[in-house]
Amino acid sequence: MKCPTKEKLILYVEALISEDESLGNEYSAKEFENHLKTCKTCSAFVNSIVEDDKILKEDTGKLFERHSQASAIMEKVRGIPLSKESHSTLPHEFVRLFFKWFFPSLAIFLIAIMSFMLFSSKEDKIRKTVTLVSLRAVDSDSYFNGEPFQGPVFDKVEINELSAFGLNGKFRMTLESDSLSELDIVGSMTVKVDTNSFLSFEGRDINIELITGRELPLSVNGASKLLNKEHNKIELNPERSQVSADIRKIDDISVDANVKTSTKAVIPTIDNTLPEKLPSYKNDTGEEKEKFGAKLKFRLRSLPEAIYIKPEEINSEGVDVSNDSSYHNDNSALKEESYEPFDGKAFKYKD
Amino acid sequence: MSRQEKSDVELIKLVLSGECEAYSVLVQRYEKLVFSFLLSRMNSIQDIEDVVQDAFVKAYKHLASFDCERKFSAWLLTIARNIMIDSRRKLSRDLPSTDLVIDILLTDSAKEESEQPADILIRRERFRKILMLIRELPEEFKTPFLLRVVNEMSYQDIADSIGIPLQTVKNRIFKARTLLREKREKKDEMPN
Repeated sequence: MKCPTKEKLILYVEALISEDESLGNEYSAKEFENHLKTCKTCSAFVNSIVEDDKILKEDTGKLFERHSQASAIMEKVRGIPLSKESHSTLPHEFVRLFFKWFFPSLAIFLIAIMSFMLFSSKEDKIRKTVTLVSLRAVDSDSYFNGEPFQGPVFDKVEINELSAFGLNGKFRMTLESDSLSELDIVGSMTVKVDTNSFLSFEGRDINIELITGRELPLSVNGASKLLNKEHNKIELNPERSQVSADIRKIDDISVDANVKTSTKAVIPTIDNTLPEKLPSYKNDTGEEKEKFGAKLKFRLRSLPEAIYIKPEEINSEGVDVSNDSSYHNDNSALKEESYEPFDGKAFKYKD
Repeated sequence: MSRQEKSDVELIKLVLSGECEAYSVLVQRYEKLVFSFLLSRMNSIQDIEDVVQDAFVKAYKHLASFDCERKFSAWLLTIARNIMIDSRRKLSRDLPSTDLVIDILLTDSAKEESEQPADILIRRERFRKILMLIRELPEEFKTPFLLRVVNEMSYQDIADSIGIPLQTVKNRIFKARTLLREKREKKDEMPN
């Protein structure tokens, strides 16, 4: 048996071994005793605790005996008339239970009433006020369920009839009933109607602003939010990024964005008609070479999880984009025309 | 059934019904508890005696208001603690700043020692060290530890007496022991 830790030895002294599960699996009390017979260090440690306990107990006991106040106390109390308070358990018990339970119960009751009033009023309000929903795409770069839209998308649809839809771009939403609320929605997100008839927004790029209306409860990524005049904005911007890549020479390259979620990156088509002369460079043999290329610049509405660039035809010199991403440095991969995904974050962002 | 065999509540009822002497059984039963509770907290043996007396007298005066569902010992310790705090406030005595109680205790204990002088000295020194280390323990560890060692109470009785859960008592005693060992080892390592 290895020497137990000091903590285990203390537990042994306290006779807690059987109650300590970790110890119980490791050693038995008998193993401890056997170990203490042979290990001087551990037995000295245990004996020191036992000896200290003994001294403390005996010496305190002796002191106590010499300084006991029993007779003095009894002398004093004999002359004291006892309080006339009745020592009836029943009324005392009643009073104790009354104070023990009445006030906490009252507090719980009041909290429950107030919570009910607070929450029911909000839910009722949204159920009553948000009845008809209208949606309008503000600009031509706006996508509803992946389709480009400009102008009205839908008009005065009962909120509970709405099924989940995806937004990407800039929209104005109108909620009509007893009162009117207008929201400006920018970004990329999925919109649903939850069981309480709250609008529920999910996504990484959500910007909502209450333009008109007093207050509007809604849910953003599962968290309840309340928009009102004081707090009229919700902004969950991911790092809005602008990705650019300098490519030296391109015969033909197409750029596509592929994202796993409903978020769709909007990237303009790139063609190879605009090669530009770039600063010359020296090749492996030291020969001065001209560089031609095109600057790929695409603005992402939201940060996609991956972007794929597919070179469809490569000239003999290959494509060198070493300034930007090592992924594109791999000529063999490009020659095989394989898709080379790269993490947007690993990409070099440029303004 | 003799008075000694009666429960705390039965004794209290006897006292309240006019049998004042029944209170002596409660004093006998719990005086050492209060004494050891105060021992690691007060600086003077005279103060300890005063607080012990005052606590029992105050408890006696207010016996009619005692809640029979509570443990008498826990109630008594609460009274003792309050009196101790008042007394400290009045006397402006700072608990851990002096060694007064230790000196008094040691002088006092020497009166009846019958051992060899060298042994007496060694033992006194060890007792002093132990008491000093206990004084340095956090407040919440002191009482369970002293009740366990000095009063040899079971964990359950300690839990009942001071009104804390059983597991908490075990943890506090274990922690008190661990801290005491650590402090002791540290002090032993220090040069004189």
